[in-house]
Parts: sequence; C-alpha cells; structure tokens
Amino acid sequence: MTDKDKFPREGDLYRCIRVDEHVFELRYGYYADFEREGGDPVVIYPNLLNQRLYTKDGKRLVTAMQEPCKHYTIPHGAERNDCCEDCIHYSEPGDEIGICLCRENRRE
Amino acid sequence: MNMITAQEAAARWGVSLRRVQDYCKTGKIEGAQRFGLNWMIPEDAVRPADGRRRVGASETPVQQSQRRLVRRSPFLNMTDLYSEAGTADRVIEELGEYPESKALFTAEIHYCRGEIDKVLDYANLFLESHSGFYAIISGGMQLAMVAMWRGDEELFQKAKKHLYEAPWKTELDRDVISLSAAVCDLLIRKTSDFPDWFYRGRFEKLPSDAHPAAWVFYIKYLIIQAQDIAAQRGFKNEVSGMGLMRTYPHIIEPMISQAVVEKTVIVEIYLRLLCSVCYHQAGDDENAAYHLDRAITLCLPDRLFGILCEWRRQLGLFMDERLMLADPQAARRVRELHRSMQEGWTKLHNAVLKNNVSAKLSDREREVARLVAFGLSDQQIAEQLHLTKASVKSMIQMVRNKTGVRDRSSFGAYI
Repeated sequence: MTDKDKFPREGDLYRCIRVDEHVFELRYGYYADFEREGGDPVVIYPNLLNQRLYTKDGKRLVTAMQEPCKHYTIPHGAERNDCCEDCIHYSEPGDEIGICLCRENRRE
Repeated sequence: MNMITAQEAAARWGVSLRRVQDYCKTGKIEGAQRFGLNWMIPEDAVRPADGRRRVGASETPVQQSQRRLVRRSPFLNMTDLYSEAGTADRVIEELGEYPESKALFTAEIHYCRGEIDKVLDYANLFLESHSGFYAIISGGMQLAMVAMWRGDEELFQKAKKHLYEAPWKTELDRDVISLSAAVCDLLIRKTSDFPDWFYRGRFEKLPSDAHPAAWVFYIKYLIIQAQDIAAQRGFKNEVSGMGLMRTYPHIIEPMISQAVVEKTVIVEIYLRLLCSVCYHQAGDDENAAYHLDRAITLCLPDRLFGILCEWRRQLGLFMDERLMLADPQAARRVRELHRSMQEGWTKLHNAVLKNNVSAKLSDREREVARLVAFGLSDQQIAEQLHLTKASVKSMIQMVRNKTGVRDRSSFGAYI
C-alpha cells in the first residue's frame, strides 16, 4: 500500500451531516488550485457565509469554523478562537455544521 | 643452518635486545628457536618491519585518535573519526584493530542510518559483556533510542536503570550519568531532570570531547523550551516562544562554523538540522533550506536516513520537499522510517508522560497545530504555509476533531 492509498484523495467522502432538512456531503478537496501541488486535500465545508441556509423555523445554519459575526460572544473566561463554534449561540458544539441561536441572525 | 644469538641480531639490526625478543615471541622471524631463556635466530634472517610509525608520519585519523588520550565521553561516539561524509564504512574497516572503538562507532552509524535492530544488538553487547563505565553508558543510551523507535516503555525504563547503575567512581562520572539519563528523557520531550548546570549551558565540568554532543542536546532543549512557552506550559516570564525561536539561530550558527572547522560531520549534521528547525518554525524558509540542504548533502553519501527521520517530525513537509529535490529515493526511505518512528515515539511519549499526543495528525495538520500553539492567527499561518485561510481553518477543525481539544492554546500539547 502506497502513501497515497492511506491518505484521503480529492473527492473522497469525509462524512455526511444532516441539520434540520439540509444534508451536507463533506468531501476532501482543495480551496485553491495552487494548493494541489504537493499538498494533501482538506475537508471542504460549505460556504454558509455567502450561501445562507435556514432551518424551517428560521434559524441560520453556520459551520463551526466560519468567521463569526459581530454578535460573536464567548463564555466568560473562554479563549477567543474566532470560530462560530466557540460562540454561546452555536448549537451542536463539536459538530462541524450547526445552528446559530442568536436572534439577530434569524431569517427575516 | 648457522644461528646467531638475539644479542648479535640486535647489534646487527640496530635495535634493542628487547625488540628482537619481541619479534621472536610474535613469530616475525622465520626459523627463530628458543633454547631455555635464549632465542637463536638464523644468521640470514632479515629484520622484520615492526609496523610502528613516527608521530605525524602518515597516520590515519583512526590511528591518530587512538594515540590521543582515551576518549572520556560516551556521547556521539567517535565523531572525531568521522571527518568526511561518505567515509563511514572505511572508518569502520580501519577500526578493525580496536574492537571497542569499532563497536561504538558502528553502533552510532547504525543509529544514524535508522538500522534500529542492529543498534539493539550492539546495546546488548555493551551491557552484557562490558563492565566499563563508558560502555555501559553508551549501551544504556542506545537501548533508550531503540525503545523510542519501538514505543517500548519497559525497555526505556530498563535503559535508564542501566544508566543509573553504571559503576561511577568520580563526581564527573555522576554528572555524566545524570546527563545521559536526562538526554534519554529528551528523546520524548521531557526536560525536567537535567542537572542544574546543564540548564545554564555550563559544560565546563564535562570532558572537552563531550562538548559537541552537549551543544546538540542543549539546543534541542532550548527548542523544546520555546515550544513549551508557546503552548503556555510551565513558564511565567514574558518571553514569547516565537521570539525565542527567532533568536536561537544566532547561537547555533557559530557552533556550526566550529563543527565545520573541526570536521565533526555528525555534530555538524545535527546542528544544521536544529538550526533549520528554528528558522522554519520562525517563518524563515530561505535560511531553513540553506541548512537543511547542507545537512541532507552530508547525510546522503552514507545513507544517514535515521538522523533525517529523527527531525522530520519538526520539519515535516518542508523536509520532504528539500529531500525530493536532492534524492527522491532517499525522500521515500525517510518517510517510511519516520512512519515507523512516529508510532513508536508517540506511544512511548504518551506512556511515560501520561499525555495524549495523537499520532494520527498528518504532517500538515501537525505543522498547523504548531503554528497555532505559537500564537499565529489563521491568516498568518496561511501566509507562512502558502495556503488559503479556509484550508488552515479546515485543518484546525480536523486537529480539534482528532485530538478532542477545542482551545487553540492547548494545541501545543499535541505537536
């Protein structure tokens, strides 16, 4: 077995995540063409900053790692990591795609 | 056949009577016969060549070294014999008349090549059949290195036990034992048990031939210290890990120059790799490549892949890239060795230090985790590694998933 057989390849499925009625297939890939040269593929997360998705009751879907909005609030004493996952409004902590419970981000 | 006495032969050949008697005893004079206490030599015998050389007259490095004071250090054995890359096998051959020196040097070369099973054979030899202090210290340290590669905690503890039980006679011997045991711990990033003088870099009490090895150990300790500071472990002062990492090359560069002048190849290789680590982790890949390329050039002729493998963890994909440019076959071999070593190292590190370092992080993920621990932002990491910010964030997420750690400041425990 070669090195390439052991590491994920571009297009391989990482996992499926279901949030409300939305299903996401997270696959390995590259965020830019230049990263292909000599680099291993990474998990490609949906861009939920640009492509806004909501639950049936109007709560916004966010990825754990995306840049937080201006309402980003971390628990007292916690470290600021600049990810939505650390915000007190993020539900499903530990899961890569979750829901923002902040009222300011609900669908109008 | 006419015979002459040993005394007559001595007068004829211009040597001492004792010398002629030695020739007779060692069978160098054909036809010599002993009568009681006296030797009779054929009249037509010629004076044999005695193999002695005058000082400085065409001696090999091996012979010169053996003529010097007996080596007083068990560290980086015989590095003064290995003065030119590509000559390891020749030096081993030349050491044929000096079995202990040959065994020590050969074991060192086997380790440098990543031939760990052979190192184990030599370690057992030193520990079982030698009672000499330095042989035991050498054997104990080699056993610890094997334990690291294999992830064998029991073997590691056995190695340290051998060190502590080495037959010391002087205070210097005790210092050597303390340093040896602490160096074994350094293999798994434990730095708490060095003698006080070591933390200050005061090597004056060590024999001079131990100093090059002491430099290597000391720089390694300083690098781990910088990484620990970055991971906010155990230090209360205000220095930053990255700041320290940027200053270390100023200490290492003069040491490299001295190793070049003194032609201690193994020491030069280690110091260049250490310097490359500092530059690379501080974001200066130009200077990192300068030293790494030179280290690779020194390692390739004698296939010293084990040394390169030892530092691949810290240099990761950067080493792969430079090796591919120099020798793709060597790059593949180093990667294979590293995979094996990494599993063993992680297992031993976690067992001895009760940690949870993950061996499942990819090289790139570990590199990202290290820079996160150093306090770089996602954007800074992306610029340093020539990646998109999104890729960096994705890798950080993967590190979190694999290690279970959420805080960036805790990544340092897993690098």
